[in-house]
Formats: sequence, structure tokens, C-alpha cells
Amino acid sequence: MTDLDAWVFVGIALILFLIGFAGFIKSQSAVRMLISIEIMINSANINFAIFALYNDLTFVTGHVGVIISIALAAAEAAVGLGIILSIFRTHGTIDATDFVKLKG
Amino acid sequence: MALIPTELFQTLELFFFFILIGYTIGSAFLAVTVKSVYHAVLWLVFTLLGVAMIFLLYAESSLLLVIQMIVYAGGITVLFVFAISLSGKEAMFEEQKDLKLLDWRLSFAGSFILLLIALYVLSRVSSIFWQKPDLTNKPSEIDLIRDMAKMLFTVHGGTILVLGFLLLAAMLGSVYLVKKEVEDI
Repeated sequence: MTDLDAWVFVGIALILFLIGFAGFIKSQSAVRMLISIEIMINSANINFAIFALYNDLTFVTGHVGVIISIALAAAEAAVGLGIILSIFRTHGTIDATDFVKLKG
Repeated sequence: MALIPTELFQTLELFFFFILIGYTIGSAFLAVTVKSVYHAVLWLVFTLLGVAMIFLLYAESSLLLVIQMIVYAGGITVLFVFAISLSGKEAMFEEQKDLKLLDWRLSFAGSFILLLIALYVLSRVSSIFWQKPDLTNKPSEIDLIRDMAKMLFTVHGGTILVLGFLLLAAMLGSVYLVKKEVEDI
């Protein structure tokens, strides 16, 4: 492989994070908000994996971080989609701008 | 003698790198902009596969590629598709309404400010931090996986235990959330 510096991948992760962030603020569908969160978590995972190779003497700690992060993302998606289904049953919509009951 | 000259090989590698990055970032962009939420999930799968390729080619870890493909691209996206299917026809397309506070201009302005802050912070980091180290003494893949298994049960044992409780709580919580509504009906 050609020797690319780590900042290339940090830049890619940064762009992915910003796309996810913009999508999270822009979207009105609750499912698309979860999709944006997954994209942001993936950008963090790229950094973990790249710096495990570039700056970790044991080459392993970053990979453990990625595995923990993926497990957390799975738990978050399961609970998030459970909440979305529950709200759909009570409200009849998954539009995030319609959930105003806690607004006061 | 190599089949392809070294310079041509490096050019092809760089070309493939740009294709991979364009594919990943383009898929992520389409996942947050395309109108149908079903299609957004499809583009999310493509993004996850692109990230898995980055894990394999540039982080040199085939284990992460496998985990990413099985758990993310295989498992979580199917969950998304089921959630959209169970939420009726209205959930499949995102309606564009006029929002009072949050609209796309604010989201892109916020992203741009975040980008500037991140670029400033990254420019302060020493250049030694970015360079690729000498990887001649890097252990083989099978040794790495063995080391990782040892660390998961020794150094990171507490974290894995907490993660197990978290996954149990997530499972019970999601079952409770959905079950209660069924009883009400």
C-alpha cells in the first residue's frame, strides 16, 4: 500500500461526521436521524482503526475500541427503533417535528 | 520481475483510493439527502461497506471488516428496514415542511463552523503524529487477533462486562417498549 499519512483518513472521517451532523439537524424523519447517527459513529470508528495502526504500540487497543463502539451502536439502534415503533403506535407518525408533547 | 511496473501500480492504487473515498462519501451524502427513507437505508449500507473496505485496506484489519459487514451492514440495516416497513406508508417518504428554528441553512452553517474548529485543532498537532510508522515488526494478523482476545478478557474485561449489561438492558427495554403498546390495543 502507498504510505498515506493519517491526516488523510482523519479528513475523511471529519467529512463523514459533518455529513451525518448536517443530516441529523436537517432531517424530520426519526429513522433518518438514526441513519445520520450511524454515519457519525462510523466516522469515529475510522479514526479508532487508523490510529490503532499508526500510533498504537500494541496495534490492538483501537480495534477493541471499534468493537465496543459497534456493540454500542447496535444497542442504540435497537432501542431507538423500539421507541420509534412505540411512538408510531401512539401518534400515528414518525415525523420528529410532530413529537411536541414534552414541549410544555 | 513484477507483472505491472511499480510506478503504474502506485498510480492505480491512488486511483482506487480516490474511487473508494468518493464512493463512501457520496453514499453518505445520498443517505442523508435522498427523499425515500428506504433508499436512505440502501445508501447507508453502501457507506458501511465503504468504511469496511477502509478498515481492510488502510487500517490493515480483516477482523474489523468482518465485524462491520456482519453486525452493521447485515444486522442493523435489516432492523431499519423492518422499522420502516412497520411504520406504514407515510414513514417511507420524508415530507419537507417549513421549520421555524432548524432548517438546512442552519445545519450547514453549524457543520461549517465545526469544520473550521476541527481544522484549527488539527493544524496544531505535530506532524510526527500523522506519519505512518515502520511496520516491518508488525505482528501477523492471527497474533493480533490472539492479543485482542487476551486484552478483551484482561485489560478491558470490566468494559466488556458493562457492555453485556447494556446490551441486556437494551434488549429488555426494546421488548418492553413494544410489548406494552400491544397489550393496550
